[in-house]
Amino acid sequence: MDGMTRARAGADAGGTFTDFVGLIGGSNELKVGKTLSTPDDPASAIEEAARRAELPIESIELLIYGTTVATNALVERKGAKVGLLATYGFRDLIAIQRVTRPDHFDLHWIKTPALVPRRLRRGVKERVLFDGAVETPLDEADLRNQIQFLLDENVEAISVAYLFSFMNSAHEERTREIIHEMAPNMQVSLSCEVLPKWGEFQRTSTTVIDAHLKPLLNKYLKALDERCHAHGIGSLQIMQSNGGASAALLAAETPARLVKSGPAGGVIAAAHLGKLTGQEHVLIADMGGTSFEAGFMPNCDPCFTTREELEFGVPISLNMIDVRSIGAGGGSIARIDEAGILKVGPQSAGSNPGPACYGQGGAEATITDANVVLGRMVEAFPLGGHLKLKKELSEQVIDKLAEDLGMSRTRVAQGIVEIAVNNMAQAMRLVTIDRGHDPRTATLVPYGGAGPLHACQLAEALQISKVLVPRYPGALSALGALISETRFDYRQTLRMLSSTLDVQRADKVFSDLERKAAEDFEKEGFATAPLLERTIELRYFGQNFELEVPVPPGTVDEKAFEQIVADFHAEHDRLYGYTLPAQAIEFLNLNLAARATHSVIDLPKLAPAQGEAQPIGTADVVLPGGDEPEQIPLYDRETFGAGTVLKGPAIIGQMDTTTLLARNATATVDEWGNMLIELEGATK
Amino acid sequence: MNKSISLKQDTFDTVKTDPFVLEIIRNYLTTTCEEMGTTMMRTSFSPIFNEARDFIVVLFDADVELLAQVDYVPAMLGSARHGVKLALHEVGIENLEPGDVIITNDPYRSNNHIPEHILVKPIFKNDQIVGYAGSIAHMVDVGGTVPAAFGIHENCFQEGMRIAPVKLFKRNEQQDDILKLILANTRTPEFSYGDFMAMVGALGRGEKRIHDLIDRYGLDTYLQACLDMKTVSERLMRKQIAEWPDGVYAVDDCFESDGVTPNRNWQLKSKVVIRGEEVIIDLTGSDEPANGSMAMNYGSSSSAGYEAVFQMADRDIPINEGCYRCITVISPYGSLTNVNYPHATMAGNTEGQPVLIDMLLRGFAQFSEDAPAPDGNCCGLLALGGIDERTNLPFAFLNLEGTGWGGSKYADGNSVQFSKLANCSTQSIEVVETRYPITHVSFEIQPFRGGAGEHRGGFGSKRVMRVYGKELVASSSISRCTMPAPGLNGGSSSSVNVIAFKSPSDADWRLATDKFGTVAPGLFSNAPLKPEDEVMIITGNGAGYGSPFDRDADAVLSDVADELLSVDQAKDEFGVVIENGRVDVSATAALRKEMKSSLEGAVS
Repeated sequence: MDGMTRARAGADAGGTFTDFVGLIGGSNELKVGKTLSTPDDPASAIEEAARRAELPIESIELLIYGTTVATNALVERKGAKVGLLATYGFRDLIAIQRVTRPDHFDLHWIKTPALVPRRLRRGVKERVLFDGAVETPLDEADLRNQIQFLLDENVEAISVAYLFSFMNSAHEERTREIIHEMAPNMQVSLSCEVLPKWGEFQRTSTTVIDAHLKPLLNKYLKALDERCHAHGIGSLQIMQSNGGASAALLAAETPARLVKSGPAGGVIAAAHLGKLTGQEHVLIADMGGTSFEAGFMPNCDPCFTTREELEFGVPISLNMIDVRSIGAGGGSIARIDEAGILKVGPQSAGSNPGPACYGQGGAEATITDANVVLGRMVEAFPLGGHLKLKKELSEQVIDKLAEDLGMSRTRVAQGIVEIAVNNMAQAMRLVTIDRGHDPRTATLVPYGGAGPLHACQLAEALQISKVLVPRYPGALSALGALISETRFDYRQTLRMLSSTLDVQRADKVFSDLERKAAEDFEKEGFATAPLLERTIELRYFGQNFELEVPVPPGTVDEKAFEQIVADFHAEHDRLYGYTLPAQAIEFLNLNLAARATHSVIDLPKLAPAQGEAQPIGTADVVLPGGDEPEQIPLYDRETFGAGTVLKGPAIIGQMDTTTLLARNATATVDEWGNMLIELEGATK
Repeated sequence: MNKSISLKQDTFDTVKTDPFVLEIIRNYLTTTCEEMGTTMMRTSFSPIFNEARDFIVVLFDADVELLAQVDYVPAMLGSARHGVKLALHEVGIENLEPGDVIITNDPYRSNNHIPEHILVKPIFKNDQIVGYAGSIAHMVDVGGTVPAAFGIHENCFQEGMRIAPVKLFKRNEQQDDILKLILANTRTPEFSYGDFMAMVGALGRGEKRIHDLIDRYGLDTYLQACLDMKTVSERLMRKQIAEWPDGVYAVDDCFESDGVTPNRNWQLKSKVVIRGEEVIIDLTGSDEPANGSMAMNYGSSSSAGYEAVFQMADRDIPINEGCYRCITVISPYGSLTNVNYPHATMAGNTEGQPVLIDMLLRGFAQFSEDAPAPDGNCCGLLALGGIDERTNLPFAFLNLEGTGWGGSKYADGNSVQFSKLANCSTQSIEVVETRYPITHVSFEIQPFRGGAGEHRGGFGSKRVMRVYGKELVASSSISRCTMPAPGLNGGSSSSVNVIAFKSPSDADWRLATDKFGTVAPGLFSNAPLKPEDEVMIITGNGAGYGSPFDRDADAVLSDVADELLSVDQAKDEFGVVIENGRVDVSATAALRKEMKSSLEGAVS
């Protein structure tokens, strides 16, 4: 280490900005930097952001990186030309989908095209039955013909998804051997490895997505890894959709795991802050320029889902952080519909032209314009430190709506924000109430550029009394990368009924998964064993959705299953209000999450406040529910110390965001520089 | 004795609720329905309901008028609108108490057909009814002669047990006597019990959310918003209808068979009447009720009418009772589309509605370019039953399929999508094979069989299954097996649906008419199968839109490359000459010219 103090860093490459957060070992200061993203050469943005953060890049020992590159490649369909080998007679599953449509009454919806065109989907003569027995052995001559067909078509990757391969993977594995005999460098994704779980449509879709991303992500991550090494960065890890990091080159082997790499960091950081500051549950509200993401974390642990869809009819069923997105960001457009009703979003003005106040030609009113009209975004704190907002342009576009509605400018601007806040609250209800959680018990953690501005109002709508505004709301995802653990998820379908329970087999499956986890962590360079969490998915026989219940530690025996079943009844009762004690139980998937931390990160602390916080001026702001502007104090967050207490109403500015403190709010700055806001009378 | 509390509308134009609050409450009701739907899917037992989503949930105001719903199966909107109201009035609004749940499934009380169960719960506030939460869901088995219900019958008693409106719960107490009676009359009592509990759980969720909403905004604001929501929707729907040209747009079609009467089809008459701001769907003049279950009750035929209008209307209009105020469906009692007691109606709902909807859309097509050509009009309803030797228990399996949608002015029809009456999903092959003694031989897109056009119809699917077990029977409710639906603006007709069987001893696939001596190829009950017998279902291609000779030659080539169209079909059906994987442009132009002129010659 040449005596140099080694640093650890997190970076997050979003659509517009790359954020960087570094921490020098033993130091007490976060180095925060922000620059425009460079999608074609991601390393440049990292270098530039590190430079702005004033952290020497060669001092970085470990860089953890979150990126939307996989998501973007999928959305824009810029991944590889993929071939699919499926069981003969079943090549069209990803085109047939589930035969549903997103809107029942829409006669003109066009079905999402399959990622692999029909010509490149080939049937292979083989068949495994529901219990893993081979009905038709793999016809290798036929297989070679189909592979040759794909090679002649110049595919760049091949996905293999046979029926019931999660019960018996021999045919898929043999298929890969033969592909590599014929084309040694071909990228191959097997469904039995990507997602060994029943449900042929979701498994095939996920495997195809994996293959689609493989060549691109391999190239991208390899280049980035080399560049990092050239700079003297110790090692590069990538944020995965499950909120854990993985070595870049290992992550490239299953790129379908990287689809939520972007938002994962923010979730991890919010959960961490929740724990650090002693919150009970955390509800995130990530509001950027075009979208809003909501997620609930009971006991400050991130929630996960395996029911994500990339687009309608394109599921990706790997374990991912559970966040719900809606089209509500600062740039969301307000319009009057035919009934004379004001609607906000989901269309967005994006960053170009952006809201009218950007002065780039935006002619429609956005949420940001409404906030400008209401005086909630102040000139003293230009966006990102440089972008000045033109208030008169916001007034023009809001006035246009006001005229059509026959209302005052202020009322319309208030209405736009109210509707936006309500839409966000609806998304938050779906991640809380819909899953059986009460949002009122949670602490709201707002982040992203526009989150803290709406946080108090959002909290009121959900009757939440506590809001935690992170020290750097705009760079929270990068901070999450910085503090993330290494994590892998494993799952195996093992279907059993309570009447046919085979505890030894279940125990063996868990042992096998644990062995696989140990191998993977060894490859990641860990000397010690990872922390393991085992769960099982089960349901009343006949139901179609499972509940996930923890598996007690130790050998999986009869007693462990008794506990599992008791926990299942209790959870069913909690979520749905009843149990069916006489009904048989069906066990489905065995899951293992393995986690390990490289080294524990302590977030730096803020110096204690020197006396009371002093406003840097005043602002004329229309507060929620008000008709007229009021003069309220304006603060610079950089002047706060630990222990600073502020009473609302107030506006608090900083480089990456603005916080609106409501009239009934009191903010207390904690030792890490977070603001904990208490809202009086919010909870009914 | 209690009273429902609702406000009465004074004038049509008054909307008193603050527009922002109105939008918030409307969104809240919609998400509440979604939440109730999620609860049902998560906890229910029958695959047709948790995998296939054959259910709806609905919120009503105190006048039992629709406020919001989830749209999985709008085919049930008629039952929701008429059946729920009838059930509540039969029990007596004055007899309702908090925590009551009313159940009915009676097709003669405007429920669409017998497996669909209506459950409805009054929502009270301060001892007054402020609304209702309702759920309508398809239970896989209801007793009767056919496992999984979908068979051909001659009266409603053969179809299963009818439940007149009664209280399944009284003041939150489950009524064990009623429940035992119901469960004793199904082949799968455990599943049905789980399904009822899932529905009741969803209703409780809806009730809770309405209480929360009223606590937040106050009862007066809530009641006013209920009223105003309907007014806004009515205003929008009237505006939409006013944009359609006044006129009478008549279309005739038929049900090709009723499954029991040899050599006869059943005539349907329809008129879409646009008159100012109102639309009337008039089915007067259709035949008398069919003898077999290919016949519809009013819940079912009115659903088809509503759906056709909603599909043609602006998608931004929130659907609630206000929309229905300007739509009237006329279907005389004692006719094919409103059968009199005790006719059977099982197949008429699910296979009749697609025919009726597309018939009405052809009426709309007479003045609107937005109506697509008909789809394959098939839901692939095959019911398999018997004893599963792995468990020695009876099983009842219901298969569902997507079909090819018709081409439109704008695009080709989607391939393999659920017919317009509903938005159900197919079931996972791996789930089906694990649960039932069934092995799939194949499930693929069926290459071209018809529906050529400038925008061709979408492709249907082909599924082949092999069955195992004892006492195996197959029943089918698949129509349009002999008479396809016509194309639009010169497009070709759809292709017919196929269901066929093959025993190991059979040389080739055989239709049920041949193998089992049934009256119709796709409408029959309890055909006996043996282990290892195979059944094949091919759903139709949608009908085409516009002349196939105007189709982009590259689009034709693309279908050939996708192995969905042969080179010969490209030539014969579309007039496109393909040589060595390329379009021969000049040969194509010459051929198309010749084909067009011979077509014109044939017409004149």
